[in-house]
Amino acid sequence: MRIHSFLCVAAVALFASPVFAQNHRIDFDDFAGPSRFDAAQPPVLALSAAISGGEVLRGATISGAPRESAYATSHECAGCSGEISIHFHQRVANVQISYVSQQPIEVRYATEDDQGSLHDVTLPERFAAGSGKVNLPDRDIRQVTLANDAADFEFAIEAISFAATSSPVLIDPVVANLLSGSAVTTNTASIAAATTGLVAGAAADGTTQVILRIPASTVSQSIAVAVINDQGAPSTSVVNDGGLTALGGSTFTSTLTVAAVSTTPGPEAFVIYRAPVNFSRGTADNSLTTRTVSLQVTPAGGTVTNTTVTVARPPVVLVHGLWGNASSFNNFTPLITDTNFNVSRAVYANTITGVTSTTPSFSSSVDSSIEANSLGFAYNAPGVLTQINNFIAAYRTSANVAAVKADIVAHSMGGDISRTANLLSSFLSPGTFGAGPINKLITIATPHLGTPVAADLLASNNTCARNVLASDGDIALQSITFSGTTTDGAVYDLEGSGTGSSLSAALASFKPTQPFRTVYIAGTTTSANLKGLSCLFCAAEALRLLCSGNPLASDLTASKWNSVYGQANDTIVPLDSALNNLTGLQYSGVIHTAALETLDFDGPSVLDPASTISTEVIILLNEAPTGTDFH
Amino acid sequence: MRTNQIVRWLSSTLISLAAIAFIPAPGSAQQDLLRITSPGPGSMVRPGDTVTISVSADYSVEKLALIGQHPLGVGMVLSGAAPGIMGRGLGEGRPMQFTLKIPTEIQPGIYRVTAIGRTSGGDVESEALTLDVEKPEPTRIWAEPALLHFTRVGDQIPVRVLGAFADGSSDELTKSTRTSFQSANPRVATVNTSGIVTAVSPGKTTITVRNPSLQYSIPVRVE
Repeated sequence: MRIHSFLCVAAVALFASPVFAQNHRIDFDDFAGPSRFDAAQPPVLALSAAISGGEVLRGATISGAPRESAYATSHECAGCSGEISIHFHQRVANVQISYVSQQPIEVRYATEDDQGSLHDVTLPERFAAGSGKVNLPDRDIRQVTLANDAADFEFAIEAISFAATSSPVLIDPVVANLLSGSAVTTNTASIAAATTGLVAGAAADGTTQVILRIPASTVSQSIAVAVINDQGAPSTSVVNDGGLTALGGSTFTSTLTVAAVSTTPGPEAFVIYRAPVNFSRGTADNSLTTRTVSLQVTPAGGTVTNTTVTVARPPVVLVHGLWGNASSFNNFTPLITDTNFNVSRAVYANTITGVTSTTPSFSSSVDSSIEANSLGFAYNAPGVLTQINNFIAAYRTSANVAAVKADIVAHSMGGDISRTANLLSSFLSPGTFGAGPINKLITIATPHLGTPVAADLLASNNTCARNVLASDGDIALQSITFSGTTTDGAVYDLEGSGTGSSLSAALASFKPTQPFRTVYIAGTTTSANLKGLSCLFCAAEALRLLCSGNPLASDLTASKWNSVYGQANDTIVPLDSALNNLTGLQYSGVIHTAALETLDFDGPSVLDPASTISTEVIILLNEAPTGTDFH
Repeated sequence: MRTNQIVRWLSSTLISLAAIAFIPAPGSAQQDLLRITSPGPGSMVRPGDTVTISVSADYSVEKLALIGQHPLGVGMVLSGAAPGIMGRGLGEGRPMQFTLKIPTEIQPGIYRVTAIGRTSGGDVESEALTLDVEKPEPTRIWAEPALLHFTRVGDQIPVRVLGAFADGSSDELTKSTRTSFQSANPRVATVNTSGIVTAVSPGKTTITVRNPSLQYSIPVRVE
């Protein structure tokens, strides 16, 4: 009996995976929220845990005391539950939950055994109203529920701390500051000391990497790791399922064997997992928000474990164009309402202050209303790049996955600004593994080769038309001086014949090859889009009457407008320019922007649902960047 | 020709001659010839309203239109025999009246309306009238991005404020005059009245937006 017990203890010591020494803590400081109860949110994902049932509040008074941030629920919150549930992505121990409640609360949790079965436990005592802490006595915990059955329930979680047990964990090296240059560090002591960056997976962009941190029994223990696809079979495709490499490695494979090393918490092994090249592998994936692979870990002489890796879509960032703003995409359905995609909007439409002069000149009231969307590529590209990087960081937090790239959907000049961002020294930053933050670039009606109407707008014989358009908010600038800075105007940067000649310096500076793949979408008008120009009591007529003699005003008729371009166009951008003199996707019967409808062109615009371009963009976001539509 | 018509013709001719003598540089304006007299600057209007705007224009203004900042469009002439968009100067004390329809699909915020005219001496333009377009108070507000993560001091990120309304609609409120922004710690990050957040020094803080009684906070990290 004694021998048997000794052997059992020895076996547990040898084969059971050790507990990582570091505690992880979720405190909701990284989440936005209102100051009073509002409505239930989708589950909050943090440190590979999912918290659901309520919403994040910030600056709220809960149980009579102000709280900076908390995850809370109440009978006053629409759709909120009397239970807050926490689902851990892996087994955890040392769980401690700080709570505040108007009423006593009940605590339930579930542990998971090595066969994956869950065992429910309900703590016998009810935890007192007010502030308190719940400490769970078990390890291998996968779920915790705090319940309050009062009709006027109101309670909140302020923090959750835990330690990962038994299973390997995934660490985002960007968040955990585990990069050396543009690669994951080879310093195992630093990785073993990481207390941040615990994630559930990675965005499928072919670049994002995570570290699989594996507890081992002994130093030098051989540990085999294999990527298992979502059919439960060993992966045969690094492209579809992602791949593995050792610290310092650069060749990614579906299987890998590494040796455990000595670290302060104990023996551990480390493997880098790089995400698949594309989220969608075919139509079956197109309707998914996430998919999974698993990393099967087989320690020599130990127990096989499987770590699930969430494969997520890269976030999507919309970039508007000249004289536009975030609302330019308000009708860009179905993409903006498709919950499979995380869509954000970059904006450069802030009012420019301290304007001392412009070329051409305008009235002082126009000068005081100039927005950044009238300024050139070089002025706006750094800000848009900062926003793209920030949206990726926000996505990492909200989706609890590693991500370093976004898919960019750019309208009009937004495509030129995105390409200008690629010229900035900060573009290929270490935080993107040196690859830059753009995964796919989808341009819609972007004047890659400029547009003749840009030079027309700046011509002296169109002064009246330029001033009338400026009153409408469409301010054509060659240059602007403000707060001691002189910079080019957007319209100046957009000058070009539209066929590839007479390019502005800004357009001519684009790199012929870019570290991302691009799709070109172009619109063209039909006579139906121009017939509205024949109106009488309208803006087009006002322009023609006020500015008779200005070529732009004279050309603003159904019969003359196309003569400005000499080729098919979307009312602003020539076809060749939108396609960058390459192949692309063409849509007929559309105009450049809905804003032109106030000048009596007839929609739909390329960003209206009726154009169906938004539906096409979803197809392209699903398409692999090696697909035929991408250059 | 009646006496008052002769006087008006003479006045118009003299002013036109004066205008020719002082032809402005391209793009400049002769705002003294054209003035929006009502409503007052900053007048609050609602989406769907029809606003009557009075424009006082000198006799020398031969063509006159009222141009609203997108998406307001052009004003319709209210005074006069026939409907139209083009008026003309009637002299001091006889303002032309235009109506301007505020679209129902318009974001709250300040919009400019300008009277633009043409004289024999060139283009003339009034000082812009500002209209404050506001919707009823929202029932809920939120802000984007959900997190501001700066990797460099000096970088700037704009915050967008959005609101949901009792009628089920939602709209951007960033430029609403009822929206305000505040940083909990300006030594870490500042925010201006337009919602542009600037990273000042490493640390953590929050940006709180209000409109007007509702508030929403987003976390800020500066590395």
